[in-house]
Amino acid sequence: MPERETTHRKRKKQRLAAHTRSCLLWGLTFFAAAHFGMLIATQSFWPHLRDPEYGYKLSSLRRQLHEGPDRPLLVLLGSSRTGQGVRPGVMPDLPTPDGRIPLVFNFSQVGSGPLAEFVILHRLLDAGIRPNWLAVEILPALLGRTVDAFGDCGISISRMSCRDVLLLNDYVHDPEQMRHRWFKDQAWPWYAQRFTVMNHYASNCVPWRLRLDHWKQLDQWGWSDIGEDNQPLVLNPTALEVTRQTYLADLKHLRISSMQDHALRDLIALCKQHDIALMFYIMPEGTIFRGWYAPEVSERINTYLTRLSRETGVPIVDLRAWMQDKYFGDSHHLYRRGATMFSQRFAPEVLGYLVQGKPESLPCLMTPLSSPGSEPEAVPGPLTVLPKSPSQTKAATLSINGGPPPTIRGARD
Amino acid sequence: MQFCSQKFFLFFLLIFALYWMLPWRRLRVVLLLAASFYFYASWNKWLALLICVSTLLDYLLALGIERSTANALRKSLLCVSLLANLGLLCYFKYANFFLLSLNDALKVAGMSAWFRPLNVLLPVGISFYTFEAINYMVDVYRRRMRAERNLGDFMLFILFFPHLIAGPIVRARDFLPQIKRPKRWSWARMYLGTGYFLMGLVKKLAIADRMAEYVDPVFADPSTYRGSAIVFAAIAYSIQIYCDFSGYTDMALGTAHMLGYKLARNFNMPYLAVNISDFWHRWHISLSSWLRDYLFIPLGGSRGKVWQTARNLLITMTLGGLWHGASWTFVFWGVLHGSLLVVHRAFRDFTKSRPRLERGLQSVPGTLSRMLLTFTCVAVGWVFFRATTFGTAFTLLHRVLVWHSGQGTPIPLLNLRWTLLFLWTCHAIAYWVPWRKLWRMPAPIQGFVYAAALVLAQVLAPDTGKVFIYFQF
Repeated sequence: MPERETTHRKRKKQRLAAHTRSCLLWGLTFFAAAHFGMLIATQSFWPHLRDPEYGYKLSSLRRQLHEGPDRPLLVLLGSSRTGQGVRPGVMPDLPTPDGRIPLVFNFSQVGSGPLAEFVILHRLLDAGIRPNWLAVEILPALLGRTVDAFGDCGISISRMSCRDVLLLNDYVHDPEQMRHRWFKDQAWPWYAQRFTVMNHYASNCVPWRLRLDHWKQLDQWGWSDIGEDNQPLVLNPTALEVTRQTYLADLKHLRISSMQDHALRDLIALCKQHDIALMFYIMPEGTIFRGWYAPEVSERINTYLTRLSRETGVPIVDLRAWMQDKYFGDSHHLYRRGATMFSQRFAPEVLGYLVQGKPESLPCLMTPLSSPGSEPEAVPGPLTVLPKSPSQTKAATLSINGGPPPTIRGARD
Repeated sequence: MQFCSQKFFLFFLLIFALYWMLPWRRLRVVLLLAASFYFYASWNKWLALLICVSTLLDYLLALGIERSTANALRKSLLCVSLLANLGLLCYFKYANFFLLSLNDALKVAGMSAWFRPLNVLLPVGISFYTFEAINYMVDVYRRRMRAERNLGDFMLFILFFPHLIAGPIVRARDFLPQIKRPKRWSWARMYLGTGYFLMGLVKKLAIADRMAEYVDPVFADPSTYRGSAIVFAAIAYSIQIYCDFSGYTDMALGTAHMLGYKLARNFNMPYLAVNISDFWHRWHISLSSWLRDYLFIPLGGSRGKVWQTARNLLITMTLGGLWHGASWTFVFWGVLHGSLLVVHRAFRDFTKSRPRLERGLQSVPGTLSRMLLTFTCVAVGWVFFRATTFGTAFTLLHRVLVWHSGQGTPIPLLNLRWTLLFLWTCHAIAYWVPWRKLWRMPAPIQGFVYAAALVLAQVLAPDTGKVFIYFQF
């Protein structure tokens, strides 16, 4: 009897061990599968879970293209200024020389500088969308930023695809660190994308400081509607202070970053390669914001953009003084009413010329355009050699900004 | 090194793998000792040395107590140990509190003396390991257990990293025999340990840290919030502190189980308590039982007259409050709980002679009302526990009792509602469904629940790691 009991107990123990082991293994398998599935989803068919703003705009654009497959496409790339300030839905039609009406789509991304715009164009081309025209915003304050802090280029590591990482390899100071951080994020995609997932499915549970669901207010043409206008339109002091803190240091001490210059030129080359007509524009700014530019910074930016335009033959339109102060919430983002007024003027007076193929008629050009192929006017300072290594980058930054060439000691800065 | 950090996961995985690969018990003890020392030294290596020295002293004194036959000597050795342990605790934790209180008192008395506060760093978990050392010394003195001969084993009892920082407060009688017992790999134990750890992780990351979003802004600036926001903040804090502390305990229990050790249970659904006495049988059980055994009973317990029992309760709970932190708000919290225990005792005696009232209280509505009343009292107590000053606490209570306009909750209430629903469901399952039934569920379902819990904890994790509340004690 006791022997039978012992055997029974032993069997029971063995069964329990087998059951618990199998539970743990199933748990591990489910956990790994959940992360692997999320990784595949974010890198391929659910880009909105990796980069929501991009993902939503892409599906919106695809819907628009599906509705009018024969319409040529004009895409606007830029920062939140464009996101909130350019409203394709209220623009008058912009007929092409052959009488077709293009689809205008606002594909801006919050915080985008030249590098982010370059990445977005790559993503669009990879997604099989080739715009006929491209209008790219230049946010002058971002021209000096390097891509050490990944947020500065408008795309954080967790929002990057594998291709983005490969693409950005040549632009960041420490590509190894970037790759390391990216791989770390990919190991736990549910953790890395937790705020995106929460903002997407349960934004009410996300604290205000982590709320990033502005993409939910996008209209079908990619314009970001941030809500009702203030009545009457007044400057928001809190927002203005945030803007001041974000940009003042840039506007006082900006030196053109060779990385951003590199990105702009590569973007131009990419457009040429894909036969995309391109123009750059600077969005309107309020007088307070314009007052923050140090005179030497202002001159540096103008000199650089003039030179870029002459060298590449791409028009750059400066619209900084187009709108009155009352239309801005924080002296650089337009209220809804301002966005409507600006878009109704921007379309015929700027985009119309691009669509018509007459960029030389554009108003507010940084510099009169030289005819394509002709020699640019002589501009002092070397701008044609674009370095890739960090030490070269520093040297180039200094030469772009007119400073003395540094002594390179071989160490990374 | 936080339990819910990647660093800890890597640390634990390494120790876990090495531990089960080692074939000898002694080597395993050495490994755990080294790991525990490293774990504590990751906060401060000098304080890690300090805890080792105080442990060594207790080890020697306990041997001395055991070997001596003269009662006077035994008592003296115990006093030396108590003085050393409590002296360290007082110096590191309470010296500045007493000095600042003395300064305030002198100022009120019109004197101008000023004692400069000391520049001391509070050793993490000092309150916990001091109590563990005291229970060992007292038990050896009372001859309830033999003094530990092996220094390594004794050090592991104090330093064992799962319970070192915030308990549960381990009894030497329970833990030392476990060190001696040979450990065999057990899948059931791994499963249990993993379950505990995951439960703790979900409680900490998915609940406690999220509740902090309701609590922190309100307690930081109470005068800008209206009464309803403060009530919700108090409820949220009640949830936060429970999930934070019991989450830590679950993780401690889980890691200990995975290494073949069993720690004491510390919580038993405390917010289902029907009175304040019941609450203390369910909340921080290892501390309340320690206070009962080593303070309340030696003071006379409930054997004397009513006033003596009340006095003992008040002394015990006041010191219990002070144990939590060096601040008058903690002392008040202790006094409040002591008073509630006294009132409850008196009410219990009052109802004994009134069977109809007794029956009414035992009915379902009566029980629910008692639960609600107990929770309300505990939540009011938490206001003093969480507030850094009396001013803040009274502002909070004043704005609840008297109408004031102000902001609503810092984030929408949806989060709190879901959390309450989730907790209620978990409590209902734990209360009504027997664990055996859950264990018998098919392996894929149980595995799925485990994986889902881990992913949920990851998705709901906060942006910055928040320190466990009880780490400060």
